[in-house]
Amino acid sequence: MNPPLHGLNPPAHSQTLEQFSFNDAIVRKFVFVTMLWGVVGMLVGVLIAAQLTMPAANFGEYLSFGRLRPLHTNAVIFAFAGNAIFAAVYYSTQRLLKTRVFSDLLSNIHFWGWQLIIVAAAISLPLGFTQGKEYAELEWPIDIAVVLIWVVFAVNFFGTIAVRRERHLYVAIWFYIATVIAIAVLYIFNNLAMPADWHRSYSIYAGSQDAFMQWWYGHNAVAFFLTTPFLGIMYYFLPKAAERPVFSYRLSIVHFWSLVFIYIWAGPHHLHYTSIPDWASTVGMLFSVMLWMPSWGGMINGLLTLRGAWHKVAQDPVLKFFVVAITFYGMSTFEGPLLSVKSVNSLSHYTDWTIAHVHAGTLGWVGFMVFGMVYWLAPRLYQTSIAKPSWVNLHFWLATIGIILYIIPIYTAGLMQGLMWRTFNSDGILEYDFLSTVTRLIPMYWLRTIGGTLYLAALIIGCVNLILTWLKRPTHYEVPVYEAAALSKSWKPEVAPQSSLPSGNVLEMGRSLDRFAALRWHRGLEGLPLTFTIWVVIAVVVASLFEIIPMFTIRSDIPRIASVEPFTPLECIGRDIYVSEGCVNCHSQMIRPLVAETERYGEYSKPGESVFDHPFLWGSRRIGPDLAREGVRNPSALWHLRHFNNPVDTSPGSIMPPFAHLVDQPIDWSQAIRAVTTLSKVGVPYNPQTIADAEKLAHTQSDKVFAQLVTENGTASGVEGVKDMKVLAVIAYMQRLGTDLNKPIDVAPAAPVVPEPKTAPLQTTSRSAP
Amino acid sequence: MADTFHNQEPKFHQEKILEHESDGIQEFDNPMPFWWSAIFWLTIGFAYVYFTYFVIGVGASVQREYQVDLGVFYQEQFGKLGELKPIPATIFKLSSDPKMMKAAQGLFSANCAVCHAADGGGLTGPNLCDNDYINVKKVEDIFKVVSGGVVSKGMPQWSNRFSEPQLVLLTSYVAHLRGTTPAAPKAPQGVSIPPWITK
Repeated sequence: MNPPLHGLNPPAHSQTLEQFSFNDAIVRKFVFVTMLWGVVGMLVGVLIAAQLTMPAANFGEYLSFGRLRPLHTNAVIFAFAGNAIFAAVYYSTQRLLKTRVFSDLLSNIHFWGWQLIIVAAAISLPLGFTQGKEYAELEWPIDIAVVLIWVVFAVNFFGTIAVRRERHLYVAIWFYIATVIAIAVLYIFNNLAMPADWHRSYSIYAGSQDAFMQWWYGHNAVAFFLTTPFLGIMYYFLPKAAERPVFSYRLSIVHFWSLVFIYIWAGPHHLHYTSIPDWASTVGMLFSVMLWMPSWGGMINGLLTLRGAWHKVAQDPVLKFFVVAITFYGMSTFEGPLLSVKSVNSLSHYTDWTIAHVHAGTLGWVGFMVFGMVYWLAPRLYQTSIAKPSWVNLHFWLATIGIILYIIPIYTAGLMQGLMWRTFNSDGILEYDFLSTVTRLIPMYWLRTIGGTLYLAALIIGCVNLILTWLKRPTHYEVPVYEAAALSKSWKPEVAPQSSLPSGNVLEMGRSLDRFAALRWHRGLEGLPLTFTIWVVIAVVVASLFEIIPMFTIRSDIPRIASVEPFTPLECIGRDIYVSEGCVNCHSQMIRPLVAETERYGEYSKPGESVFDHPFLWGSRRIGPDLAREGVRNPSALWHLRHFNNPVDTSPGSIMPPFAHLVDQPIDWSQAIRAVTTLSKVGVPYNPQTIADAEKLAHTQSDKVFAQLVTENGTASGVEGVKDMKVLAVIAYMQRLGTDLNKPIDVAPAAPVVPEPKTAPLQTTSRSAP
Repeated sequence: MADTFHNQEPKFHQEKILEHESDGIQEFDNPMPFWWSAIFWLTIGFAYVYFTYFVIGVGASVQREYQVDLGVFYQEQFGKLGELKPIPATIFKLSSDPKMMKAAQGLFSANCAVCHAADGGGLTGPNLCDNDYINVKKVEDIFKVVSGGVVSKGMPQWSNRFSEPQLVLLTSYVAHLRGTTPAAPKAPQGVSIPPWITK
């Protein structure tokens, strides 16, 4: 089957026609790996969902929740969604621009490079190699590879634009341009880190600033990896499948530019009530609210494009996938601004509500756009009909039921948990201890696991169907040759027509405004890719700098606390283990200034407390309790030892995985000096003596923790095997958490905390390192 | 079904289609829906007003709101009790009040039960129900241990975390545990001391 290609007939007056064909082999490759990695990523998703219902599903050190959760997110974002984006870009760009892709070689380098990166991620994350920042876990050598491959993609993409035979860029291409530019900027600047060795590095930013950078990245990864490219996909594949014109060209223009400009600002809404300055959190919230309509612009343009084609939706599964996808997009982009309102966020943050929100977006919007696209592409790519048309419907319905079974219980769990955390009884005491707020959610976690399994099963049916379709392919793919004229050298950008307002009766300004609002001037811009791209860069960079510059220059936003000191060498080792094990995936270290929270965990976290945190470990989810004041709340070494070894020994019903391997593996003492040396390079003020004695200091403190264990246990028997083991380093780190705030300082009698950020005088650290 | 759709001659059939096309895709020249533009402008207006009030103007920061909430909370919780001091009279007055002991139980189970068990029978921390104590000779000593901690043995310094009335409440709860029967009592630690002098 070879569908006719529209619009390739050159205008009659044109000179010479050039012949070209499309590279669809690269599209076939990307489609195949999209589905393959989709299965892998979602399989891991189902496994980690199951782990939350039964900790026994944590199969040892390498397959525990903390290490697999980043594997799940990275696989579904960068492997499943990523490869789908590349398939879409390669397929639609060639056709929209009437040219073969710029370079077949670069396309292949892009393909194989990206798959190698995914394999490297799939190996390194279970090994515990992680930077500890969400969706930016991959360690620095892989980061470099990602940037290089992204550059290859960018060269290939912009090269294709350069050799195009269609003057004007269609709206899908605008969204691809925004994706290529923004992801490059975001990825590079959030991942800047100082390597300690080949598989460990420390973010160059610390505490509040690192948190800010992370969520500037994290939020915009959602924006420019899971939203803009999929809007591009929608703008190409939806009108193709529906064979209807796009509802409104003007709406495309307005919602594209407002989306690109406004999205960038919204990141700090992930950090409400945390130790970032109030203004940043407020700006994040307000831009999120303003983002509502620009997002809905996409939804409207999608759904209204189907006017006159709804009878097709009932019959064509491709359109069914698209309609449900766009509906979920509309829901998620309404919920997003809602969750960004501070008072709503105080309830939803750290709970499963966020997880439900994300999965409505990814399973619904991203997943269903991908499936719709793949089923539309399959007959065209494999030049045969779909092997099992009825299975496509089965995929659709199973996956839809899967999504509903996933999100409804998880929304319920999120609401329940948020409400339980803040419930006081009539005596002013918190009604629920933390553990009981977890165990009550387990039934919901089971339902979610079933929902996820259905979605995965549906995907597997889709994969089998695709393979069967592929098996039916012709011996040789037909490669049609098309003709079009080269771009004319004499082209001048279109000039917008004058305003139709009568010139005598209104001011000239009114006429200019009317002319601007008609948006016809944009047509000229669409013929100038370089100018267009520069405007995208300006939108992204200017919006970023408006927040980043104050964040890094207003020092009074992060008042120093004299009693807060850098971690000791042993605590650094413990912290590295904490990062490696992915503890941050379940435990926050950020107590918000809310009464229910300070009653449960202690004094709220201050910006000055995490100034030595490279990376910040505030977390985004409390599957387990907050640990910001763990050293104050529970300094018992023996309790921690028993708890790490087997959490249910101390906390019956706990769903935390056991970390028995920490009890058996000796501390890598050389890590002490690597850690403090590298951290001092990113600005942690260790004195030279500490660096020189790092290993000795680590030994001394480890012996001290061990001695405490023996004292608490009453006898050395039973704990003697723990000496010099990794668990001692983690216990030392636990015992330190949150204790500096109230520590007496022996230097200045000044109050340890500078209370009001707006008016407080600047204080600097007055003590040297331990 | 398809026919009814077409026979209706919907309004959009008269809409203007722009002359350009890309790979066969055409676009209508429709304006943005009015409600869409209106809500967009409203959100921009809201952002302007909110920012002016809370960032440039006098709106309370989240920290200041917290201080107010906390004041109200403590007022409600302890206002009616007046000041609580760690003296035997107060401690035993509280420990004989079932309502106060129920409140204290909440504090105990959320903070102390991890080491001392929910019923005080002891886990990694000592049994609080028997007659043997490590650092306590008289009832006021419980207050000293609870507030000051025995950091070398893993007992936190709870004064970092709780107000004095809360510490006194906890003290009276621990005093009240003595003599109760836990489910799994830990072996006695320390030395046996005489019963509390309640007067």
